[in-house]
Amino acid sequence: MQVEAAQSKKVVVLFRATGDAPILKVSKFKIGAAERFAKVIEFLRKQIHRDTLFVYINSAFSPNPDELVADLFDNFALEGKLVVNYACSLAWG
Amino acid sequence: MAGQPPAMEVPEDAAIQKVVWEGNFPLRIQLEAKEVTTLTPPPPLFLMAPRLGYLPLLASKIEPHFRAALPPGTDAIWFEYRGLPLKWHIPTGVLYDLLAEEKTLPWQLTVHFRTYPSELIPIEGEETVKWSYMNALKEAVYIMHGSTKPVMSLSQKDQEELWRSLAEGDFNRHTSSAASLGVSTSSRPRSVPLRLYLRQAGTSGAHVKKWEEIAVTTRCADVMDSGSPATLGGALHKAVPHLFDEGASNNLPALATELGRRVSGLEIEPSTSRRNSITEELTDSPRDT
Repeated sequence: MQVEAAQSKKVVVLFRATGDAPILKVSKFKIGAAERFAKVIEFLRKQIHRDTLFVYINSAFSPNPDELVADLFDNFALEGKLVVNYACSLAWG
Repeated sequence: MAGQPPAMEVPEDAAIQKVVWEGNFPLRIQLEAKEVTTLTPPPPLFLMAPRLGYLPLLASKIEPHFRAALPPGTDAIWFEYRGLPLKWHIPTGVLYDLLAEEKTLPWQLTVHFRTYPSELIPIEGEETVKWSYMNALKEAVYIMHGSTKPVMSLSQKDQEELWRSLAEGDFNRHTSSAASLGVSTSSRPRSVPLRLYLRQAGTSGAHVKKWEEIAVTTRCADVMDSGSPATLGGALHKAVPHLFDEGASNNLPALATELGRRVSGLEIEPSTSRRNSITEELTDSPRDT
């Protein structure tokens, strides 16, 4: 919400594959905190070349693509990283 | 959904929850002119929408009314208010509080069944809405208890029951299915999930043309504040401190005292201490002040 601060801020996202999802060569990325989570999903989709993708935070829930990366980071990051699990089939319901 | 408040407050909380649950308001829905294939456009449809519901859940009531007028093709229902495609994952009552320019009822919406806009999250029937709701619930429970176990340990049947109670706006059914969620009887939550929708300063009374004009933020509001139960006002102070700055824009007159007055259309004093909502969406629009 602190618009100016949020726009320049970047946060670390750590991608973790689940099930038979392809593993990324580089799993840690920086992303603008002011982006929506949809951007993370889109990025991941391009990286692993799959259209069907299930994405979770902390192996727990799928956030709404409309949520801000900054909010997800503030609320759910562990040790300074937002852990994003991804799967090509339904993993945690 | 109560997190063990003192015994005295239980009946009052339940009464407020019931009022919130039973909140309905009238919609006037007309078919997008470009989708009318009949000589005479179909008459508008009037219906009551539950505040806590989601617009696509009304499809089974709306589609039959307009079906005869639609062009051939596949249906994907979406709604528009004065040019703005409505985000279906936001509860209907929140959309109204946030966007309706005059608070006159019925709220006049346009329904579309074709050319689904790319800016909306794709939807494949009620299952998508349920998926979205269940994940919002998991996120909320995660904030409250640090894990999604209370939701994950629900049987398929209980999960379906919880969803049906919401989809059908049945408060009594919801109370029993929420009990199976275990959240109501478990220990006091550590924090309460709070989602705020804010119109930009200076847009008071104006027509919202794009979603970018609305800021949304999700916060974990502490249940306790320096040893005593936190208040809604206190939680808002922490969530959006810039709105409470002394030098805050003149476009937000007296916002500090007015913020948080309406929860699901009900007037709530900022001093109210709420420690028990799971998925409550809180709207505020400065023009209401």
